[in-house]
Amino acid sequence: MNPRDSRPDPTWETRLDRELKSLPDRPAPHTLIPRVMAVVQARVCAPWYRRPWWDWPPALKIVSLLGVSGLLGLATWLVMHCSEYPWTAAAASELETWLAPLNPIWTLLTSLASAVALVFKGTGSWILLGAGGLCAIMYLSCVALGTAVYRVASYRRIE
Amino acid sequence: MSDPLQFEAFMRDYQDMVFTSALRLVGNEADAEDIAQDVFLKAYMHFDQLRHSFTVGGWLKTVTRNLSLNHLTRYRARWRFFSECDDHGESGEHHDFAANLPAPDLPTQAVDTADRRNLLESALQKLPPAQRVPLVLYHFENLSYEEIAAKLRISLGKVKTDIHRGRVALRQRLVRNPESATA
Repeated sequence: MNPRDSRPDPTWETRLDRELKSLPDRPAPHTLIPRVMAVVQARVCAPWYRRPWWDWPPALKIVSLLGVSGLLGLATWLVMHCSEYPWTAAAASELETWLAPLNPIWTLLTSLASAVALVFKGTGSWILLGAGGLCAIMYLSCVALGTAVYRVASYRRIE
Repeated sequence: MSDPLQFEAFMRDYQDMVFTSALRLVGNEADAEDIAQDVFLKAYMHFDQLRHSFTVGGWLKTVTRNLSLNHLTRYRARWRFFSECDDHGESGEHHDFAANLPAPDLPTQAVDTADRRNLLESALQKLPPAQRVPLVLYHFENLSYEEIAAKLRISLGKVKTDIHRGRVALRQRLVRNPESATA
């Protein structure tokens, strides 16, 4: 290309594309391999219980699966049969003693729940539906307003 | 678990390609090194399959591109904002002036091939991200305009505009100020 020629060069894009594609790779920093290998070595040297479960040895995977299944089964069996054992009654009474300071809160909550239930019974279902609809509209308005503000603050108008 | 020594040899073969791909997209050596590290850690997870694959280069490039774009997404609002400023500040006569500049003779007789490549690489790195990223995706990653628009979640028109402005800016830098481009 003659630099004194003031007309745009129609082949510029093609030549630029060719030049860009011919650019060689830049050498990676010398620290890259040591950094990666340090992480890799840490993973290799980590004990099995510090690795993700899918990296555990196969035998340990099987044992862990069996162990978890057994624990779940035992918990289910205990829940279903705990009332058959006398020690559960003692444990329940001890738990009740521990939780005694929370009794006023529990009484207050149950009173509130009873009051709310009475209000619901006293009002028509259409009022409840209206209140629910109002809550939904308010929620959606908040979401829409938040989205609009986010877009205005974060995004440019593209075209 | 893969053999670390074999993996190190694998890294030596591909580290320049991965690092360069990341660097051209993110425009920052420290960020590019972080991304390259993440790419190779992902590769290590799949090394047993990758070591025998003929498409490992493509796999590495794709992962690098995706991680780089994820990285850029975190700063997207910022560079979009500056892109908007550029639109206002560089539109009009400045844009037309740059577009009408004569194209630089890339294989200039005055500089040898290495200098010319350094000049071009440096000019590319100095482009604003809003122009550099689509330009790199188009010329280096061989993505179509539509694919770039989908990747960057911007309109097709904006992709074309940004790539055009990137080329014009490259031309402007190479023609008017080659010394500063290498500085």
